[in-house]
Amino acid sequence: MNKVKKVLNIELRTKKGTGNARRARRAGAIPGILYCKGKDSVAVSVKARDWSLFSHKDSHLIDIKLDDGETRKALIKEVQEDVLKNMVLHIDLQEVRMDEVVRTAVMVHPKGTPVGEAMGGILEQPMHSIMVSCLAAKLPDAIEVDVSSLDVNQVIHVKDIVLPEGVKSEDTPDVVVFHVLIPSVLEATVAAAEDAAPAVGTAAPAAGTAAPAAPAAGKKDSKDKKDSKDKKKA
Amino acid sequence: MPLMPKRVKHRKVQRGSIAGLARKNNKLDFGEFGLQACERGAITNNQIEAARVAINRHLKRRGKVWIRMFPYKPCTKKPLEVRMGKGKGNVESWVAPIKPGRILFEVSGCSETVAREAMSRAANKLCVRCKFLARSAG
Repeated sequence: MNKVKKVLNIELRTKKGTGNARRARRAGAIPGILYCKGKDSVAVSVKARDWSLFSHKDSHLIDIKLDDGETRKALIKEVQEDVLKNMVLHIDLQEVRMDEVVRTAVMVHPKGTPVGEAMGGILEQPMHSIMVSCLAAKLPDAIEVDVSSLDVNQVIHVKDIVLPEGVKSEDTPDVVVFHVLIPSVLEATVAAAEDAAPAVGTAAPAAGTAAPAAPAAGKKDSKDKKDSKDKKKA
Repeated sequence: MPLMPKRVKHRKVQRGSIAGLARKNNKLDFGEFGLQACERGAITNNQIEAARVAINRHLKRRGKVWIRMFPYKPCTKKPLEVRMGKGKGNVESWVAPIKPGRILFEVSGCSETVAREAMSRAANKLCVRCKFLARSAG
């Protein structure tokens, strides 16, 4: 199941700190850290070109080769990115033993075309990865889920996903991973809940109605004035 | 109906600043494709509504749209030809302060070509420069 496909060459980094990290980035390297249970963490750096060639989208478990030529297995724990420049800023690697239980998020991919799509439905995937725990040797690169039997308004939960042997899901079983909805059900939803309404405290109806209601109210007022003028003339 | 808070603690607020980069809401969380702000600015509720309509018209009501911003901040304006003073103006619009990197819209249930065009049309309605994002591309 788990095949470590590529080897990432990493170098030990002696110069630490923000300034040195920035200098390393300018020189085409990515600063990182390698840590392991029971050992001291080591500052490392990876060549940006190596990292871009290295496919890390699905596989978390990789082979790393240190300066001394020693090859070890490591788990990619975190990748910090500059979202505007599409640049990797820092990587976290955790050295693991293959007989060690690891806990990580694994991507879930749909397989096949749902039956419901023929009836105008759309396959939605609210959850793109699930948290699993297993031995490092059995960690899958990604999990493929057969969605071909999904009809309209049918769902696949976390508990419905058949995981490889030895792999255990750590997510809530009732969470929806795939579902097929008809377009009329799909409506624009507002998902910015965090900074949505800082609506605490007393009600302020004037604030709520002020902006859009203002032109309408203005029109109404002008109409009323006209009516009163007409009445006076009469 | 344009987006606005149902109720607020303060009717009028000071302008404030929109400094820094978006440290959260800067990745695709819901859909397959998205629109990301490259500049800072204040997007009004009318602009959000116009962008939403542009996306939905291009998608022909297929697919799902997520609006990842909310205009929670009141923006006031004094009427024309009015002397300074006499208090703060009336609330004219509601704006969403946007920092660079912020995800503005997300879309799923359509092809990348359709999503790219829909997002391009939406970006034309907004007052900040934007770029298209796809989940498969990272």
